[in-house]
Amino acid sequence: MTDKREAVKKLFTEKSARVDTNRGDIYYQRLYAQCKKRLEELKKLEPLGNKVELSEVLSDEGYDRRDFMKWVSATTAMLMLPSFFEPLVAEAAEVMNRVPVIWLELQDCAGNTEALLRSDGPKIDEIILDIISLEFNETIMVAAGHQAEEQLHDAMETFKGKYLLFVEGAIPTAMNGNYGTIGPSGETFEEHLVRIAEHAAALVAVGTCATFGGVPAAAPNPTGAVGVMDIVRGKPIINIPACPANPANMVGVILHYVLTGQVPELDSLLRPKFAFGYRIHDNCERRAHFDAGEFVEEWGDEGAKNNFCLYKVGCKGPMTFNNCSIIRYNESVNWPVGVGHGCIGCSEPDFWDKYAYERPMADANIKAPTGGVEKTVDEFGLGVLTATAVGIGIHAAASALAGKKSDEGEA
Amino acid sequence: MKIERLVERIEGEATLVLDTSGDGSIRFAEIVFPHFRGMERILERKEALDALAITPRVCGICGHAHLIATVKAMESCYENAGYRLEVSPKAHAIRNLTLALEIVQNHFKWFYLTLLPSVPGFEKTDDSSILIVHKAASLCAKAIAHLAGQWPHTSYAIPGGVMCDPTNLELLQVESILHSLGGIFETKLLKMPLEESVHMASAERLFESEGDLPELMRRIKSLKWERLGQSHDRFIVLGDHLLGPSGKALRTRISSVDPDAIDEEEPTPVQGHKNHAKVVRYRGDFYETGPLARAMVLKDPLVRGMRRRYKDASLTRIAARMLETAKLLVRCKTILKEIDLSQPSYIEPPVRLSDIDSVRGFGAVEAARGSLTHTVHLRRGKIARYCIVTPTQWNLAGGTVQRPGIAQKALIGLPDETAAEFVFRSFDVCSVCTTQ
Repeated sequence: MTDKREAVKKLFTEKSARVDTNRGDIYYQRLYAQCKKRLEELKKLEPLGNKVELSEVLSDEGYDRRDFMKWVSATTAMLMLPSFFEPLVAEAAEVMNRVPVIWLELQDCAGNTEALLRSDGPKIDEIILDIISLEFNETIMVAAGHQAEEQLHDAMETFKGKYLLFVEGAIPTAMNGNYGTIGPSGETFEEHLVRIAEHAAALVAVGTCATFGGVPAAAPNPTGAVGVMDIVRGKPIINIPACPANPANMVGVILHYVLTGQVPELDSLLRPKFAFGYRIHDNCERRAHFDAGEFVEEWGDEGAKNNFCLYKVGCKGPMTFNNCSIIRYNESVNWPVGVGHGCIGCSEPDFWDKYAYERPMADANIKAPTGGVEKTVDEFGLGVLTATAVGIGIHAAASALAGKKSDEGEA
Repeated sequence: MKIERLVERIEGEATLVLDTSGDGSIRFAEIVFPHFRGMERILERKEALDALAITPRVCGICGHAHLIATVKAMESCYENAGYRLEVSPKAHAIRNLTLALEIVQNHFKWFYLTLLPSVPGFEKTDDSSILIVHKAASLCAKAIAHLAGQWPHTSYAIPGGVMCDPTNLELLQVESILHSLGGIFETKLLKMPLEESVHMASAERLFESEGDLPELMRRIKSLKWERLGQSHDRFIVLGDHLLGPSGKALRTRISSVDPDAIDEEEPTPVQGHKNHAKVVRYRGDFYETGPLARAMVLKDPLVRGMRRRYKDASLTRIAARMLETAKLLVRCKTILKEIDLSQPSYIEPPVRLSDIDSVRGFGAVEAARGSLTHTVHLRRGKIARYCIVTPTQWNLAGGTVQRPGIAQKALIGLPDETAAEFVFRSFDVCSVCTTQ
């Protein structure tokens, strides 16, 4: 296990986590044709279960087409597709109920289910409830116990090889997996996961527990918690870390799958690049203050009142790959940095031991993705000027490395 | 006969092991919590403030309560070490607001998604109710996000205050959300102005009113379930909260609580199953915690009236919880108006926690499901020991046939499994919190 973990850490410092936001017309036109064909095929299928159509739900709830198209534009942009994909994204949203989803909860706190349930976008509540065919979710479904087990079995049989398997929570491997058993048969989480993964089209590990072990894997990792990719072999796995994972990214992954029938382009930690291709810092609303050397020195000071940069009070934004600074949380209402709370790097491996809290980056002993260990602004001793230099340095490194892995796109 | 019933839809999973007589009635019940993460051990040897990022992740539903419990425990470390720590009324108010909103979202969801489907005749909650309850929960999360950045799993509170510095704009947004939430309560749960619900003192009136709450209560009566789920009639409230102070109630006698009298026992296997829930008692006795306990300690006239008639039955528990929702919504509006934005959000503590040699801190918070306490031992700013006691540990603590725990007592003697599941769910069980 330590080897695996070391390998993950090594991957994290590799230079593949860069995203190419413009692949040129030829690429997109080919992709467009592919998606169109796929959607035509999906449209021929019946919606699963007795789920209603999106358009009906929209009008029932008093939302018009315009509201929906606004959501479509935002989502197309989030998936890093050119705007001429918008009609396709809209169609994909409408046929989302043709793709079955099974949701497993393992060693977790149900936080990602909670986050999904109050998901974002003008119509996402409806999309989640009525459009995605959520065949099985222990926390929110009505059936329980043996009835639930039957439902799961039915869903697996009916959609063999077709369902997307969402996994929330880590897998405890210590004590032969006896720290977590599930269902009437009392199988361990590991057995449960392997059994259900066998016939999944792809796995989506949601939240940092399912991706890297998360908080349960924090030192001394009492239960030997690991992520899905440490257990499941031979299946496409998409990691959506963060604690909780952003519902926009969950919906994004499903939409991408509906649209293309494939998993989105991933980085070396199997995270979709559309969401994890850049750092919190790159698009942070407080970035200008970093560049200008304006920092919060202590919570509640003048800097805090003026929304200055949180780098010196331990923000890990420059080290953390995620799109929170753009899409935010809770229907885009806010995000931690918005209330003066530095990023804790919750979507990075080992965040619970290395990133979480107050210690500025140098003290937190984090290896920067750019190769070197960062120094705090104060250690450079030049204040304003140096801060700017660090900012530029990171940027320069990022652009130099950009597009390294881009030829492995969806084509 | 021995029946094992798996209970889901409770944030994690639990198994009810029921010992039934020939007619199907329940002789004894035991509850198994099979999941374990080891949160207390994870916290050991970490920096004190790391707990602020880790404890909220104990639970996806009441993570915010865990955050506030941690903050209170750290703040009490200062006091116990002889330092004066100041927290502005503004910071207090903001913490209370976000905490109350977390409780409100939980109560809404519990009623529609957990409780209703366990009552015959209500199994199929209609889609519009599901949409509305999700809207309510999402509104609560948005209001919290305005002040705390995100929900679930925010870490915006720290010893000495909060990190946010809201403007009038954020407060207005929260006010507007509170207004919408009140509207949902008034049009769905209890069809009367919120202020009227809050001051209602007669159980008869509640039964005769319109709305999903009285309708459910009437249904429970027609099933002859109104007296099911009675327990020890002992209640505990360990944290001061928005609506009142801490205390305990033995029947209707109210007295104060002493945190040192809480004792926790290591978990033991149940019927050969691995079980990870620790047993917690107060001076050797089992106590019920939660909205009913809070109402009893508050001497709420309506809930006391219900208790006179139905004792501490599930019906009383349900009424206490949903009326608490209304009270919290009204109280939140008042608090919001009282916030003075010119006050500081954060007042720097006199020293760092690492400057204190060795100290113990205790924090108690009233979470949605009841009293949540965190006890921390710090040595030079590092966590030497951390102990979390959650509401479900109080309510679902396992005892013996002779001395059953709260939920066990409520389950013993029930006519059948369906009734057992209803009573079990009336406690609002959280498995992930219980075993951490």
